[in-house]
Amino acid sequence: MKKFYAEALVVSVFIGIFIRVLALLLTGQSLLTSIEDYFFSAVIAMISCTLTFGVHVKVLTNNQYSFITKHMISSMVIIAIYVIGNLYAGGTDVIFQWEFYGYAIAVVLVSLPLIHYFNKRIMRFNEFLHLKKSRHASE
Amino acid sequence: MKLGLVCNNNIRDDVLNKFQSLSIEVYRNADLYVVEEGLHTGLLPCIVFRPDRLDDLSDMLQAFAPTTTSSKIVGFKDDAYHVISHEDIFYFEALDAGVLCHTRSDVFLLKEKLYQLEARLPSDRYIKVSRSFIVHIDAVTRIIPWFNRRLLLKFEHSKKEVEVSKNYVGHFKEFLGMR
Repeated sequence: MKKFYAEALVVSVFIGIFIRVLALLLTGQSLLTSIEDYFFSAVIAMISCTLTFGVHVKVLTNNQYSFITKHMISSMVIIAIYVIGNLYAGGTDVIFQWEFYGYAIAVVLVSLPLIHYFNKRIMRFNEFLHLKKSRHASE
Repeated sequence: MKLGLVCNNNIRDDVLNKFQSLSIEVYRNADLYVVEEGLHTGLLPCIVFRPDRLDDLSDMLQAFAPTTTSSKIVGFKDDAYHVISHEDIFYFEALDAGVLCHTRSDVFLLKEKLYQLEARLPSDRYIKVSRSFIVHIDAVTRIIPWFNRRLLLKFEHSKKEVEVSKNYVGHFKEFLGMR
């Protein structure tokens, strides 16, 4: 698990920096603008990664939670990451813009099929595992 | 090779005793069936035996007996040998120093090599998941899929975990019946 988490953290740092570079390019700014913000982008990415990793391991793979509960928890994490990212990038002014809420809903809706796919994949593995074990128990 | 048994109920216990005396396990889904004479129609190829000649059946079954007649594993720890029951085993791990048997709370050193264990362990309960690990599937409680076709196996009431390497994922899925 630590190995997987470490891999995810390293990848998230690169993703955070990549998003920063992309945002600067799209807004026509120099890549050398506010060098210290690269560090904050990486930190936000690592926090997002940690939250996502926790959801993947503790929630999505847990048979005790219902499908709806898993979706709700995953959506809350996604919204938390979205809010943090927007507040960091745009300041508190963003909360007075309707686009902020529109994009939030869009992000949640777009991520639902992805969550569903991951959950289905995890559940499939564990269902076959329990089927295999129950056959041994009955023998 | 996995053997199955087809016979009448009145002799079933006697025949099963023959199998058990030779430490041969009987499987529901077998590679080859040992069938009582008269019941073998539709089951060919199979080994047909006569119910009044069970001694001949025993002689024939000798060829299928495993090289070790014990279903237990013997491990070394704290200057003593311990007999480890299959129910307690989580997985086997091959290191330079030898093969370790991991249970919930202990780790034992074994004399056998991993390939020797793989040959004598029940193939429907133990699965090789990488070059260095053989896992007891009944002890696995959760499978966590990861990127790059890897899986992580978690065990009951334990922090121990084993990774299924990507080269073994296909075989593992087949073992679970997913393919």
